[in-house]
Amino acid sequence: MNKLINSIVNAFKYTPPNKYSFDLSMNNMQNSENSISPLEDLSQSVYPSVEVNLEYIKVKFNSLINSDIKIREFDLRARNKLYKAFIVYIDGMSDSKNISRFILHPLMLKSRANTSDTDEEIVSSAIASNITVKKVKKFNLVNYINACLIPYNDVTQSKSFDKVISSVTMGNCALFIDTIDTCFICDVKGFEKRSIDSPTNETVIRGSQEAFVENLRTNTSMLRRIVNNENLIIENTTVGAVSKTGCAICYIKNITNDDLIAEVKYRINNLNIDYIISSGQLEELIKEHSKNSLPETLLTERPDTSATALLEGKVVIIVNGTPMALIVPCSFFDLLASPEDRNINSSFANFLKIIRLIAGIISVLLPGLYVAITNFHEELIPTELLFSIISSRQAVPFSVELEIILMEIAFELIHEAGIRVPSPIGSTMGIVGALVLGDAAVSASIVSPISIIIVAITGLASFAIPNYSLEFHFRILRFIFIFLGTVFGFLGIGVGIFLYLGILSNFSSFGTSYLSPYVPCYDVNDNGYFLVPMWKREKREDALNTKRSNKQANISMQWKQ
Amino acid sequence: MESNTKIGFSEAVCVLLIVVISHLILTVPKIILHNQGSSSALNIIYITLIALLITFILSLLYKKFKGKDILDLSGYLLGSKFQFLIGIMYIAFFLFTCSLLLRNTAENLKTMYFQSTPIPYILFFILLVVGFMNRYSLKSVIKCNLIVVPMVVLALLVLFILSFNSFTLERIFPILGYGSGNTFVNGIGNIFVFGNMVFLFFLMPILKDYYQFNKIAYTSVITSGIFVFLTIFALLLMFPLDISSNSNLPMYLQTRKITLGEFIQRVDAFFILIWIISLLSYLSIVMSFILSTFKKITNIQNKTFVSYSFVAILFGISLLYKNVIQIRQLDANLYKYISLFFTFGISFLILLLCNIKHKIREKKKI
Repeated sequence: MNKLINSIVNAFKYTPPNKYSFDLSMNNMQNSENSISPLEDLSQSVYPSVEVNLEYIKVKFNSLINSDIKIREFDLRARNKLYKAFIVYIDGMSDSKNISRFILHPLMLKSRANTSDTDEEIVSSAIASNITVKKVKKFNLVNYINACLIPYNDVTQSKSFDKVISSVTMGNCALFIDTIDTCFICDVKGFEKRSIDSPTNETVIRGSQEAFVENLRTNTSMLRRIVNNENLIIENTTVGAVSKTGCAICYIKNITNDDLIAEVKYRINNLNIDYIISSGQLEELIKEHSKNSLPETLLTERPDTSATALLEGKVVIIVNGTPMALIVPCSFFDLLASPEDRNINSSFANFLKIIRLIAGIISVLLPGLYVAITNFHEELIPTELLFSIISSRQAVPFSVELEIILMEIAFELIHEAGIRVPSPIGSTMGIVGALVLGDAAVSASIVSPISIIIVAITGLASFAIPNYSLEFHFRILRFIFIFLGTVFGFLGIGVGIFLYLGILSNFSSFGTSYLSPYVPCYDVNDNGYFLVPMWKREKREDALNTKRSNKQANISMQWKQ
Repeated sequence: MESNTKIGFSEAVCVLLIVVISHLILTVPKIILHNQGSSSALNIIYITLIALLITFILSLLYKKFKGKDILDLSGYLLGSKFQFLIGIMYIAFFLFTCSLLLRNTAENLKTMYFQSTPIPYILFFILLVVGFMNRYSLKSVIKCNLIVVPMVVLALLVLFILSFNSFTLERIFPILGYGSGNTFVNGIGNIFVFGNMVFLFFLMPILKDYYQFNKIAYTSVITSGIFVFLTIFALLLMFPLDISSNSNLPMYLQTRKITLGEFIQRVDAFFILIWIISLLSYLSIVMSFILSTFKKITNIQNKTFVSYSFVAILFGISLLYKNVIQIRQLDANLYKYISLFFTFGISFLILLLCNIKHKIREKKKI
C-alpha cells in the first residue's frame, strides 16, 4: 500500500530530466566546463639538474626494459663551456639522421658559435668618433642554444614534463641541458607511414582519387590543400589518459556555428577514458543517443567530402591512426548520399538518389512484407503468382517466416565470411555461397526459389546503401520487421514503420534534427535530399545555423548576364 | 512552454489534418452519405464555407489572446478551478473519441485479418506503440506526424485517381439529395467533420509564431474540406447509396474496387498499412495533447507515470464497448453531437466570454 502511495506521490514530484539535450538552432549552449582527471600527475616541472631529469625520464619511460627508448648523454659546448646534456627519443618514431645532423652535430662539435667565451651578448653596436659603442645584455643560455646551436626549423621549449613526455611518445626528440629548467623539443618525427592512396570504400568515377591515411598531419594537410583558406582552423587535442591519441577538430571559423564548435570540443574534451585507437571508438563516445544503432556522424575516407562538409559549415574530426574522418552533424539523408553525387549532373545524381532510396526501403522492408503478405494478405498477390508460389513451396518443410530467417542468416554468414577470409578467396566464397548453396538449397527443397529471390534482392539493395553504418543498421532492422510481419502482418509492419519514424523524428545529431531539412520543416534552401543544379545551390543548410548563409550569389553564372 | 517545443506552420497544419483524415477513413463518410444522400458532395462544399466563416470569427475572437490556449482562457475567465474542470472535460472528450476510433479500428482489423485474435490483444498492441511514443515530447510526436501526413495524403490522392474508372456521374443526381432543407439546414450538423478545429484551441501556446494562427486555421480548414470532398465525391460516384452508406468502412470498399491492369487486382492491404500508420499518429498526438493538458492543470512534472496511466485508461474505455453495433451507434449519434459541443460550443463560448471580460476590464481601466 505504501509503495502505491509513494509511487503516486512521486509521480507528482518534480524529477529533473537527466536526458542530455543540445539544440543547435536554439543556441542553448550552457556548459563550457572542460575537465579531465588524468590517471597520474604529470604536471611536474623540468629540474635544473640534468641528473635528476635523466632519472625522471628513465623512470617514466621504463628505459631499462623499453628497448626502443633511446637516451643519448653527451657534453654540450656553449661559449666554450661544457654542460652535461642528454636527448631522449623513440627509435622508429624519430628520424635518427635528423637528430644526428641537426641536434647532436651542432651541439657537440666545436664551431665559432659555441667556442666564444664571453658572458655577454652583443645586441647592437655603433661606431661614433672612432669609439665603438656596444649594447650588451647578460648572456642567457636558453636563448643562446635556441638561437645559435640548434639549426632546426621546428623547436619548442617546455618547462613541463607532461608536454615533454607526450611529445616524445609522438616521435619528437627532447633535449635536456644541465643548469637550465627548460627542455627543447625538436619535431623530428620520422616513422614509416602509408602513402596517400585512392579510396577503397568510397570510390568515384569523377572527382578526387585521394583518401585519408593513418597520419594525422598528412590528413590535415590534405584538408588545407582543398579548402585553401586561412579561416580553416585545425585544433589539436588528445583523447585518452594513457594513449593520448591525437585528434584534430577542423572547422572554418567564419562559417561554422560557434555553438556547434563548442559542443564538439566539449564532448571530445570531456572524455575520461584510458585510450582510443580509432575514430569508430571516438564516434561511439561522442554520440548523444548511445543506445541507438543509428549513426550520428558521417564517416568518410575522402578528403574532398570532408572539405565539402567544412565549407558547408560542419565540423570534421580526424583521429590519429585512422584513415577516416568524422563529420558532424549529419542527417539521415547525408547517409544516403554518395560522394559521386556532387561531381555529376544533378539529374543523374537524383536518379541515383531515387534508386538508393528504393534500395533502403527494400533493404529494410522487403522480407518483412513478403512474410506479412504470404501469411495475412494473400489477396495482394496476383492469382498466377500465388499459384506459382504455392507450387514452389509444396515440398518445403518450413514455414515462410522460418525460411526467410534461415536464408537471411545464411546470407549474413556468407557476407561475414567473405569479409574475414583472405581477399583472393573472398570473391570465391561469395560465388560459392550465392550460387552453389542457393541452388543446392532449392534442389533439396529446403527453401523455395521465391525466398532466394527475396533474400537476394534484399542483399543487393543493402549493398546500394553508401554508408556502412547505415547499411548495418538496416540489416538489424530487417529482422525486426520480419518478426513484426510474422506476428501481425501489415498491422505489425505499420506499427514498426510508425515507431521507426517516431525514433527518427526524436533523433538528433549534434543539435540538428536527424531528418533535417524536412522534419522539422526548415527552409530546404536547395539542400534537400534531391540535388538542384549547381547554380541553384545558393544557401547553406538552415539547420546548421551557419554564420554565412549564402554560398553563392543569386546569379552565380554572371557570364550569362 | 520550453522554446524547443515550439512548432511551425507545416507541423500545425499536419496535426489538424491527421485528425480529419483518421475520422474520414473510418466513420465520417458513412454518416454523411447516410444523412445527405446524393447531395453529400454539395453539403461538404457548403459546410466547408461555413467552417471558413467560423474560422474567420475565431480569428477575430482570438485577436486579443495570442499565445493562450483554451485552458489559459478558462483560467482567465473564472480562475484555476474552472480551468481544471475544463481541462478534465477536454481530456474526457479526447479519451472518448480516441477509444471509439481505436475500438472501431480494432474491430475492423479483426474482421479483415485477425479473426482468431481477441480484441484486447489488438488493442494492447496498438496502445503499446502509443505508450512508447508518449515517452517522447509532444514536438517529437508532431514531427513524426509531419512525415506520416504526406504519406497518407498521397495515398488518398492515389486512391482518388485510381477510382476514376469506376465513377458513374449519374449517381450525383438528384443534386439536392433528400431536399434543399436537408442539405442546407439539417446538413449544417455535418460540420462535425471539422472537429479537428478543437485542436486550434490547444495549438496556440506551442506555435513558433502566434501570428501564423490565422494562416494555420484557414489552411487546415481548406485542405480538410478538400480531402473530405474528394473522399465523399469518389464514394458517391463509385457505389450506390445503399452500399456506401451501410458499409462499415466505405473507403475500404473503395480500395477493394481498384485494379491495376490484369496483374494487380487487390491493393487494399497497402491502404490498410497507410491507415494504420495514420491511426497511430492520430492516437499518439491526441494522447500527447491529453498529457500536456493534464500537465498544465495539475502542474505535474514527471509525466512518464501519467502517460502509461492514460494509455491504460484508454485501453479500459476501449474495452467497455460491448460490440460493433454499439460502437456504430455511438459513432453515428453521440460522437457527432459531442464533437459539435466541444469544437463549436463550449470553446467558442469561453472565447466569447473572455472577449467580453477583456472589454469590460478595458472599459474599467479607462
